[in-house]
Order: sequence, then structure tokens, then C-alpha cells
Amino acid sequence: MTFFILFSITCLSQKNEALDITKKIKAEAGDFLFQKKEIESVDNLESKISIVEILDKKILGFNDVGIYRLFPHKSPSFTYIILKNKSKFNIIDLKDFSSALKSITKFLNSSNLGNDKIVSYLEKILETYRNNDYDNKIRM
Amino acid sequence: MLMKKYYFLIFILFTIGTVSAQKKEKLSKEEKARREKNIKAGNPFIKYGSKAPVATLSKGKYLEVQDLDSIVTIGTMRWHVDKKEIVGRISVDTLNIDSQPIGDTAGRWMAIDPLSEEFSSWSPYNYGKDNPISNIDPDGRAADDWRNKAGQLVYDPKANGGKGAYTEHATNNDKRLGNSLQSTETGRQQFNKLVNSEQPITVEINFGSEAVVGSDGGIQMGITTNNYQAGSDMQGNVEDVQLENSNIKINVASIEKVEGQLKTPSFSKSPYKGLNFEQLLGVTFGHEIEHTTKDNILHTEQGGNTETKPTAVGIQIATELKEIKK
Repeated sequence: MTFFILFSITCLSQKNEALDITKKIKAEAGDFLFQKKEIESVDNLESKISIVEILDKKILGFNDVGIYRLFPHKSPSFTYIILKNKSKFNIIDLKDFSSALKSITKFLNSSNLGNDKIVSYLEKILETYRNNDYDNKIRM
Repeated sequence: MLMKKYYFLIFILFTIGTVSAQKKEKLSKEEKARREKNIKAGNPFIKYGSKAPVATLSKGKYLEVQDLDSIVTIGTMRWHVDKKEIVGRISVDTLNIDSQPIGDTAGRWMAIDPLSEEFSSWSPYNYGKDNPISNIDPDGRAADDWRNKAGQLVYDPKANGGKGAYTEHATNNDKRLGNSLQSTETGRQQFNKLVNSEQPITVEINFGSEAVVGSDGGIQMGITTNNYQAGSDMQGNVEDVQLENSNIKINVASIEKVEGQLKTPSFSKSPYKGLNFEQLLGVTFGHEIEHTTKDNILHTEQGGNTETKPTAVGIQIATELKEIKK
């Protein structure tokens, strides 16, 4: 009985921890986009921004390790990258691509992912970079 | 005796678990004010000066005191709001003034609008924003047409015998903007998407004298903002979006600047080359409308490029305009 209760409490506390990380990432992502002038305020953030895993397209909170697309619900705007490894995360602007690539490489090396997954991640990141179309002088 | 010790341990563990679960949420000023309002609404003793710290189960997150009976009385009708049908009538005894049924006055709501919280500036008992001549509300949902910045209806697709017409709130510039779309087939399709949209869409025309330039130096002819929440399945895969509202801003000075730039050799390969201001207005508006569609939003959420479809729409309008010119 005691074991069952302790086990339940441990599970619940882990769930709470995962929720806390998700909330923390969302809050920091909101501040990041606000500083980049992509959103006008951080109120009602759930309706203004999205964070979706770049490969399996799951929303934040389901994967311990992953690379996420961060984008405001606005056009024109840019898509940013969040590198998440358990409780650690890093928000990256792809505009400075060489600097972004260093952080991405470091993340991929430390995450113990297979070669296929690393290649898939890199392909998706390059696609995101191209979609951002930084050199376009006329935007709608 | 030994078991009693365990009971105490279990009690302590439960207490720790419960206390640790009661983490305080961080709330913005607006959210805090909204929740306080909901808590007040849920406290029947507020008129006696009693302020309970928590009067609602959700701590004010949701308004919990709405009268959401599935059967409501409207005039002498008993209306089932889920089945959307009349389920009974009240026969009025005109000879006995004391036996009149509650709600026997025609047109009086006996339950507040379930969406009243979204329209806090309006009475929860209003119908069609107190303008039953301009506005109809066949299904009780929120307004879903082209609106101006003040939220007034600009175009009513149900007016003019279902052919659609601009309302008294439409300015000449609104009409000019709308007409800029109507000269091509694709433009007309986009116009229909706007006036029959799932969510309310406000359209603003920015007459500022300076072109709007983004942080990357790109001239922004139009800007669309969508408020929505993505819904996922149990595995976290995005499968639907709940649209709240959208806003389209058309930047006139930017379009004028682009019109000038398109005449330079650097833009010789642009699909918009050769279009005049009015036509570029239509292209921009058509592009922005595509950004507000559920299809495009879902496509973006599921990993697609958000600009692919709107750009294709803009190019298609430009192509059709050039064909007309020929």
C-alpha cells in the first residue's frame, strides 16, 4: 500500500515537472518573440504562438528530447528553432545560420540520436531556413 | 499498532502530495482581472459584502454561473438549443393575469447568450448586436463576416436576397478594397472566403505615409494575424485548430512603394511586374485572406510552409489580371 502511494506520488511529481518545463518554454518563447517584435504582447500566448516538433509534428509536452519549430500566428514572420533536451532548452534564430549551426551540432552530438534521425533533423532545419526567405525584399 | 503508524505515514504523504500540487499560477494583469470578475459573478453573497477567496471550482478561470439549460423559453416557445428545434409551446391563459408563464413577452431571452463572455461590452441578452435589421443570427454562433476595426459589419453575404451587399458601415475605401478583388475569378473566390469565414475577420487599411518595413528590410504590403489554438490527439499530433479571430492589415504606402520598385530592372522577373496600384491591392488582399483560412493554418501547424498557398493565390490573381489586360 505504502509502495503504491509512494509510486503514485513520484509519478505525479514527474508529470508536474514536465508541465512546469512546458510552461517555462512557452513563457520564454513568448518573451523571445516579443523581443524580436514578432508579437505585440505576451498576453493570451496560447492563441498567438505555436511550438511543434519539427519531425514528428507533435506539440510541446510529449517528447523529452526534440527539435521544435517556434512561430507566431502571423504573416509575414519568421520561424525559430527550440532545441529541447529534457529540462534544458535553447531558442535559436536561424538568421545567423553559422552560429545557429554550432548550437544545433552541439545539441545533436549530445542527444545520442541515430544518423538517420540527425540527417532528417538537419534537412528539416535547412527547409525551415529556406522557408524563412531572409532575402525577400517584398513581403505579403 | 504498527498499522496505525503506517496510516500516519500515508496521511503525511498525501498531505505533501496535495500541497505540492497546489502550485500558484502566474497570471497576467488582464487574466487576473478577468478571473476576479468571474469569481465575483459566482458569489451570490457579494451583495452582502462577503468576498469568498474562492467562489468557483476553476478559481475564476471559467465563468461557472451561466444558465445553460438545454431548453430555453423564448416568448411562448420552448426551444431546445442543442437539437435546434421547438419542443413545446406555452398556452397563455389570457383571462387570469396571475397565471402568466415566465417569459411570456415575445422576444425576451430567458437564458443568457452562451458566448456572452466573448462580447463583454454587449448585454448577454442582446440579439444580433441590437440591430436585427442588419444582422441575423440563425445558429447562435459568433459573427463571422468581414468586420471593420470597430467590429462593425462591412459586408453582409446574406443581404440583397442572398447575393450579398456592403452595409452602411462600409467606407469607400472598404468598397475599393473589396472591388479590387472582384475583377478576377480567383479574387472572387478569396472574397467569398472572407465574407463566409469561420471566424470573425477584421480588415484595417493603414494609410500611414511611410512604408512598413520588417526587421529583415523587406517591405510588408499586408500583415495577417490569426488567433487560434491547435488541438492535438492523445499522442500530441496536431489534428485541428480552433479559430478565434483574424486581423488583416493592408499597408497602402508599402503597396505604393512596391509599385514603384516593380518598375526597376531588379524586379524584371517578378510575377507582379506590370500591375498597377489597384491590382496590387487586390493581389495583396487575396494573399492575406488565404492566410486566414483554416486549411492554410492547419497546413502550417502540420509542418508546411505558411506562404506556399497564399503566394500561389497572389500569383494566380496577378496572372488573371494580366490575361484580362491582353
